[in-house]
Amino acid sequence: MLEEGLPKAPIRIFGGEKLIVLTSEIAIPSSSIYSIIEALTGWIWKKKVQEVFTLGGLPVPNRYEIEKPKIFGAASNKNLLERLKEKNIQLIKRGFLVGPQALILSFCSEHGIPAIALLAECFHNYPDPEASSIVIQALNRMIDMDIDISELIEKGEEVRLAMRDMMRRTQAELSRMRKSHEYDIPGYYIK
Amino acid sequence: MRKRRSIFDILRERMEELEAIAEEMLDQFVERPSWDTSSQSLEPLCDVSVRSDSVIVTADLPRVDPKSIRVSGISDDLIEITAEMKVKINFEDFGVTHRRGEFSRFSCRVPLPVPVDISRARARFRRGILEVILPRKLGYEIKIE
Repeated sequence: MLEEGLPKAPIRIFGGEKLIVLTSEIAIPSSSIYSIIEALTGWIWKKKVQEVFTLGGLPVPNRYEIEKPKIFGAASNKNLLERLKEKNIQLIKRGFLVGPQALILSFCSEHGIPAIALLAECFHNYPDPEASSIVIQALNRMIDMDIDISELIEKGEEVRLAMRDMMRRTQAELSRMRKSHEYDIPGYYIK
Repeated sequence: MRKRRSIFDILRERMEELEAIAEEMLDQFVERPSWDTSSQSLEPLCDVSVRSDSVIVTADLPRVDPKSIRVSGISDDLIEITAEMKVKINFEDFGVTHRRGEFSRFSCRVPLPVPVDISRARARFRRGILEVILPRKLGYEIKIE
């Protein structure tokens, strides 16, 4: 990745005094997600990070019929689930999660690192700035921050244009990682 | 005597072959530019889903003039979608200064996995996303005794 003529890593970590942000300019190849997240969790553990938030989407087939996407949450331990409930974030009680968020939750759970996944209802295959804004609003509530989402909404169409190629690559990786598994209804449960 | 291969070996080999074919198809889809400066067009993100009675094609068309959207049937398993943008966009708008060209439209041809009856197709445009519902061609109905 070249920026201002200089090489930069496509997956980067930005650090401040209170927050560390990990972000990617590329669709992470599905074959390397496991090793990347494994290494990342080890690094998080060494850094003694207090809390991890993983932000993402919950694909819904009828997204264009939804006026305001709903937000859902899952966590690496029971105490965190209570915090989600306090902030009126509905839990994903039962179902499948595929991809980086799933691995972050399970690795963090194994290592005893507190981790929360926030997911807004979204398009499974298109950039969704509206859903992103819902996730950021939920994050604002969870960590008492005030990240401004107005630009994300106002420039939604420009965001969708700019993210087109990255989404095209992401679509291919989502198929490779069998993301559609998330639609499956888990068995072994009869009411 | 030749050792017989187990059913699991055969199944695994078949699965590997299928996966290789799937990978190749995915790569063909991605390994070319999503833009064409000579026709000033960008390829929109598209999706095709097959239902029992219809094929639903959607396309993400940000910044287009809704009145300019055209959907046409090329054959019973291929449609073409075009739409003009409200304002032209160029590489510099994406922060890219080493390429030249501007874009004024979206254009793509979408192959359909099953034949459809294009004359009965419907389309709607909401939240910047085009949805085309194409009824599948009817086959012969088998009577249940």
